[in-house]
Amino acid sequence: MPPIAAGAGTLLRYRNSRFNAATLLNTSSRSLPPVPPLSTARLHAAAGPGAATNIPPVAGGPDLRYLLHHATMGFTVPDYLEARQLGWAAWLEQQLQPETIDDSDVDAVLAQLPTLTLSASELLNQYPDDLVEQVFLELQFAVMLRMIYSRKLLFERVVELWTDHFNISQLDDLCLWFKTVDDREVIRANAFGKFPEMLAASAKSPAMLWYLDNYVNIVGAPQENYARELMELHTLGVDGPYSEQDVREVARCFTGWTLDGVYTSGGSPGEFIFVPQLHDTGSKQVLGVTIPPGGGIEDGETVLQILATHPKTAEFVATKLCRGLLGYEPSTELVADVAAVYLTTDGDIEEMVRKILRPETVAAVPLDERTKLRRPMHIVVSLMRAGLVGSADLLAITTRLLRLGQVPYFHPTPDGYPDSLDAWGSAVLPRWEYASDLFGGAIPGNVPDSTTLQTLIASSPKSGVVPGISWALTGGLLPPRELRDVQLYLDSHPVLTDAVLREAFALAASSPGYQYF
Amino acid sequence: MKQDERSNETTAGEGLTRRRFLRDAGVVSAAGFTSPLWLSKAASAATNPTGRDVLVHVFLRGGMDGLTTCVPYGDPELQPARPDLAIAPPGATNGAVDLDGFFGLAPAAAPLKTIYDAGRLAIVHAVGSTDSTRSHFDAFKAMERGLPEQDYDSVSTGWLARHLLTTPPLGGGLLRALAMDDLMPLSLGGAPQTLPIPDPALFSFPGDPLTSPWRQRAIEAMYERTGEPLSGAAQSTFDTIEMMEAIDFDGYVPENGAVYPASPFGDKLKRAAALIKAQIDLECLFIDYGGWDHHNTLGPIDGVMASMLDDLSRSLEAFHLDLLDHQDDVTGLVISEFGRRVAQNGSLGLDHGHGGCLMVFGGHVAGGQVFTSWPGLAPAALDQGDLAITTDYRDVVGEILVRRLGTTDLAAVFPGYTPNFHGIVV
Repeated sequence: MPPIAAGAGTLLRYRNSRFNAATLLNTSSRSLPPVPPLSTARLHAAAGPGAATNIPPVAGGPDLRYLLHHATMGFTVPDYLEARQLGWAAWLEQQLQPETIDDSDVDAVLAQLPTLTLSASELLNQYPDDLVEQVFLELQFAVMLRMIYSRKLLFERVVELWTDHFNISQLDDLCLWFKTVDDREVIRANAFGKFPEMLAASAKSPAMLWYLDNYVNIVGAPQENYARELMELHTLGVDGPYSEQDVREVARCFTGWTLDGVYTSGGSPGEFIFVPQLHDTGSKQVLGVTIPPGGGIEDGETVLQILATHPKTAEFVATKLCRGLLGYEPSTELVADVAAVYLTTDGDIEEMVRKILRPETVAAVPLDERTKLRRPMHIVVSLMRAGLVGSADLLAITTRLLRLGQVPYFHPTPDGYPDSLDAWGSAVLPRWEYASDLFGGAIPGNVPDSTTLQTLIASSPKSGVVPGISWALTGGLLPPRELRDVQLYLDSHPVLTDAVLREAFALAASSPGYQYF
Repeated sequence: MKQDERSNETTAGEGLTRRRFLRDAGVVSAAGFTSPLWLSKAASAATNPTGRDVLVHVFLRGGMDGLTTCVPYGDPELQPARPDLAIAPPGATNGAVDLDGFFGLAPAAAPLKTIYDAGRLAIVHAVGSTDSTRSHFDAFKAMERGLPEQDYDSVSTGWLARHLLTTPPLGGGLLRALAMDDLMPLSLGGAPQTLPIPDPALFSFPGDPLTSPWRQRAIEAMYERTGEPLSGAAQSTFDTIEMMEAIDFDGYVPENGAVYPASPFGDKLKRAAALIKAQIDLECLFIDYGGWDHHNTLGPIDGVMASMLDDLSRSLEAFHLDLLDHQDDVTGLVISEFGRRVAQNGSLGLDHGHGGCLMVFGGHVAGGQVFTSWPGLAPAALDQGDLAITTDYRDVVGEILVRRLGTTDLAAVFPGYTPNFHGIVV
């Protein structure tokens, strides 16, 4: 397909320049800010020895520990103390207004990452091929920093869900540059906003246009990759009421939605552009709606509108949120309630999340009766959030995630990382290995120091090493019968050495109870 | 470890499992561990006394284009539908490697000709899952759960899992199947004694070896009392650690001068060869090979499809050479969830399609031929623009299962469908 303007086509050389994950992560040109010991400052020193011993016993009311397990990327004692002060409703309201939360420690580090604020064309101009590792590394660094240290706990949790919903592989050619923009402008800008607006932003996101090939979807030769996944994965769901013919018609509606630098050279390579000459102006039929001939960019926008307001989309999105936040099999009543919220609020995500995280839906089911597995990223972040290490080498952790099978933005296919027991439930050894290596000090730059481990135990409201470990990791929710096995291990050693204590932590983190949330 | 506590622990539980018995014996003895049962069994097994093969199942995810890999150059409709992408007939520049006067291999797949000519490779064309979906993810479910055009969402087991569940193990049955990936594929969902192991050479228990037996004990005890799939996975993990530690993967030398490409797939096949030769009673090795979703710029001659076909073909050729002396023990299946659209799209790529081709290799394959009831590429013969399916993939799989893998209950593997055998394996 010849470019239609002189100087166009500059982006095409990036085609199929798939990047290698291991090479990128092992690059020596790391120029990243140090992570200041904000972990120590906030997460555990704040609590301090004995802090949790002052927690009054739970008397009636919903158990906030379960809320923290569902609404955050991992329990911490300081978060629990704060939630106890506020109560369920006030804590949730605060978390649903992330702009009101002081996150200055994290913001100060993020401010040292120049690529995070750039546009697609700025990234391309300022970071040519030989510098693109910096773009990649800064986003990887930022996501780990935020998941572990941000005080916007629920926001980061929901961002992770949308990142899977609108999955884009950072390793797919230009997505190495563009995912940074997508994360900022599509996911984070709308994570608590209106779903239709997130969908609309995604449709024009350079990363999505590239990843699902719509940038080469043009009149006379449509390309249906985006059209299909838009309906199957982003809106209606695979059981939605669309046909193969709808896929083809939707593809026609999105012809001409491309990137500057493919068919045009408007001076902003990599930015979204609609090229009328490449648009199929014939009439189309989408889900029974006639889109009249002579249309332009509004054809695609009409499709987005049809999809975003469809009851099937409401149900699909509601199911996704309930599954993500609560469990694999949310009740049909809850899903219907949340879908109804979607339809009455123009897809307001904040309202849906509020509906989901109520005391009566977040059942106080013990960890050993739970069925929802933490995925590897969740495990790794939870263990860091427990406040084990002072300063951290975040990319060393990301590198370890390769072996656990879940690096942020690496899932190759548009369905996002799976979220099911069948998918993750058989790979237990990598989890034991990670726990053993982390506590054993075998993950460079992330070595829990002995004083911290002692502090964590000492801040337990219950006496004893094993209850202390359970409190530090889960708020005391690890199943007693599993803790007994950790205790037996400790008892087999005459002296509680530092090494034995580390092994006990690793065993607790390897327990079945810790794999669930 | 205090002996009294261990005995308390075991009496408190539901009695000694076989594994725990072995481990306790090992802990008590100065030697550390007893020699595992499977080693003595493997040593006594000359070669495959049961006559059952190891299935090497390669899944090409993304929808591999069968019309490029095994091109029907004799069909006059191909060139008009794909003016820029069709592989030319044999003899032309960048022409196909002829197979039978009608079909040929893409030049990049030429290494497959070695296996084909040796009679160890058969290709089946216009084959696939008859489910009408063009979604990758539904196509995976339909094919891997073995239930095209049925309610595959309501079933959680894969067809390969149901084969393992209804067929007695080959030997000790400690590790019946292995998926060389981070995640368990749907085909093996619910399979007994089955693990996802991305690299068997790295499968060892972590931490200080001096405290390892006691830490293993603690973890084993915790997982014995938990639900599935974690409980079974932990059990298989401990069994498998012992097996893998006894295999020298790093020192493995392929036979017959076989050279595996230095690629992820080449590495996996090399590991697979080492596992097969170790005779640990594995019944299935499952290997995922993703990235075949070529909507954009297929590159059948010098692009991405060509380089992937080259990698696939050279890896399979190396595997064939390496296992020449073990051919009687192995049957291979290379399959994809669907083929791609017959007509090229606007970006020199191919959208999702329907029928495609698959490959069967091994010592018991009626190789050197292309099995097909060719429906033709004329517009009227297509299924919504795609190659029609004239052979159900379950025919091929069913035949492999019954003739080479000892399946006893094919109806349980493929409920609602009775496979027709075509004589692809003997």
